[in-house]
Amino acid sequence: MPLSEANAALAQARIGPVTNTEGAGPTTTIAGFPVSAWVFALRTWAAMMLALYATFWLQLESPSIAALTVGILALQTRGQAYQRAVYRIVATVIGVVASFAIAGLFPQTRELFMVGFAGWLGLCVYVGGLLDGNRAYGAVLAGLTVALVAVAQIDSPQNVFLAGVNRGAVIVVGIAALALVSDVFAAPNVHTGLSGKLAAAHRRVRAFALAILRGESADPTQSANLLREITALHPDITALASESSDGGARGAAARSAAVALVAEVAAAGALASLPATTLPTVQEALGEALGDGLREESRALQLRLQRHADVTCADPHGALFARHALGLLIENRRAGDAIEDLKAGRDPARHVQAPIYRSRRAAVRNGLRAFLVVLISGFLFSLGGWPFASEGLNWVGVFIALSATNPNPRAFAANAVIAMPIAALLAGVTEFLILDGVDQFPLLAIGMAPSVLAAALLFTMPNPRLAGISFLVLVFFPVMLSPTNPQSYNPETYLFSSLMMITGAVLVFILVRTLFPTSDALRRHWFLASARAEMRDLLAGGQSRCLDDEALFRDADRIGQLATLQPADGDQGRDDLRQALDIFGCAAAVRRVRTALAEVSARTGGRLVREGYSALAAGDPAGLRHAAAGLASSASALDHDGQVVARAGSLDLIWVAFLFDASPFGLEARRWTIR
Amino acid sequence: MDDPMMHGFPELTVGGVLVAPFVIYAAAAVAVFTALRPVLHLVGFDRAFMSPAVAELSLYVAILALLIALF
Repeated sequence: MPLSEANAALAQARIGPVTNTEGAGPTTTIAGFPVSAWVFALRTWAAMMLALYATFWLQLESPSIAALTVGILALQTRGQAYQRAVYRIVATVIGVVASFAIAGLFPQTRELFMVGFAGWLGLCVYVGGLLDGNRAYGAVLAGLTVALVAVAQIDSPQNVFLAGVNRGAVIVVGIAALALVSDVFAAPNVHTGLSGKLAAAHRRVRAFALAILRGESADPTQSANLLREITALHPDITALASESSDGGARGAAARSAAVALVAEVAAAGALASLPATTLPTVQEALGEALGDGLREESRALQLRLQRHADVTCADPHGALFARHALGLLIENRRAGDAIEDLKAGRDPARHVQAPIYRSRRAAVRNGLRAFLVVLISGFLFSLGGWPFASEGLNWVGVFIALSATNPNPRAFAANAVIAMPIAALLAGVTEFLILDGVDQFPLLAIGMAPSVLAAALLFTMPNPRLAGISFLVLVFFPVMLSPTNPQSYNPETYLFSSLMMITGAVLVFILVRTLFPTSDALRRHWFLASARAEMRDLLAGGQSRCLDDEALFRDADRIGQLATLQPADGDQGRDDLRQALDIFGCAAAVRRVRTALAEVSARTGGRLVREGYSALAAGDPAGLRHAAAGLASSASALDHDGQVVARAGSLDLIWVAFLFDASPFGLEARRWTIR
Repeated sequence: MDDPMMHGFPELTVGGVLVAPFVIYAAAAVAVFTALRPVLHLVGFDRAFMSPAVAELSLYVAILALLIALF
């Protein structure tokens, strides 16, 4: 629904059940929002009021932090909220300790204090840049806690400890309120939505594989989008563990499913590289097995494919097809089983990790930007000599740190510039027009309701810009309103605080655009350069601590991020994706051949594999084929299992040679070896 | 003589800040609950209830009450 329509609906407050006839099933909506959005908004408001009431009752300082905590943790599922709560507590403890250290190291020298704070924030932003989801949030929170504790007490460093303890206490109260409300009012579980998303991704991966078996070519954009869809579930997967006692098992099952789905996409991509006429009867049987998923037939086909892959290399294309088809079938079954385990809360058959890719260069740039933004803002605020200048600086720290957890810091800064005046206006209207001097808690709760409910409702909208702005309004509205017991109703404090917060947002908006702007073209260049560098290391024999499939997931995450970038001019974007997918396929093949050669080497005491390793290091297709032939011919001297392993290794060597020849970036493949 | 009905509460002071006994009990209950999680998974605790979230919350409250009553 467009924004204007939603606002109009909200303004009219026309409450009545409306049945949405569009989409798969009827959804009951109230004033244009589904019931689930209303339940979420009411839950958030109830938790915020409970947190405020508890902090008033306990006579803690800065109750608005408890309300802000609820706003920040107002995520739509229990798992995500609990995971963020855990990271919020841990990061607050680290941040308070860092505040003591920074305030203690530079007690009388404000310049050095500023450098220390900027350095710590830059470091935290850098660490956050290497993580994702709530983990990244936790890392930057450790940085911005120093802004809220030490910078806010810059004129009275002796109060840093008390401020830290107070902050910790109100955060815990906010978390407890939200946890209680989420549990009692049945907030949705992350595993229910995640198993649906994984099952949908599984269906799409199967459809992709079936299209390839029908002879369609693999579209790089489609492959990249599939990989993005799977790897984008990573933050949800990590949130599973905190949800319930079955969370650990569910997390392992979800990781196993996601890793298997990525491997399935890779296997389907490998089949697309082979001639469409290879083993037509097997193709048909494979299509049927994938289509109806019958377990027994799939087992029989698996045996048949194994036989094809085991025969001698008279028909290398047929044997390669059989080997990748077998991989596809196995990964398809693994993904299906793991999704069932996730639904049932069982431990999966195999435990794997799902490592993510993060660009170190982007993280360094974000860290440096945060460092400089704090220093420049500190300098500007000290020149201005305004009262509340330290407050302005701590908001700069908060905005720059939060912007770094966003995939697009510029968009976040732009959202903050729009959201802060809205939050200030709502807080002003609530404080001076609606409440206007009242001191009863129920009236405060009713007065805050319209703003909190509206922001929470708009936060559930699918439009990312609108959701981003609403989230910031939801979080910063209670801070600007700053409810205290008794409420002071001081217009001067309100005006200065709002002005400082808006100034902070504007400063960050300008500085994020001018300091180290990271364009999508530059990111694209970094992603491809890192993929090539890792490929070079892999060919040269670099060891990875990950299993093959885990490393494949990490590569898929890089392609997923590449796919989210704005398309370059002309066919550049598609070419970049194709190149990234070629490297993805080659890296998977090289890892597989290294694993196979290691196994042969373990059985033969290092014999038979030397030629394979040196051909890999040279990136030479002819040498690889020669090594494959040598390995296949000497396999007859081994026992049965040894022969199977040696044949698999030989096939994998041929496959790598085939990929080097077939890639339109083949010449570049050989350049990977040049250091 | 000590009254058997009287119950002393532990006190914890961090850097001059007195931490309320309830906070210590609540934190200890979180620790006990976290340690119990693998056992709960083994016995299929979540699958035994219609609303596992409320069941786990109730278990936490029971542990908290038990700690306050016993120590």
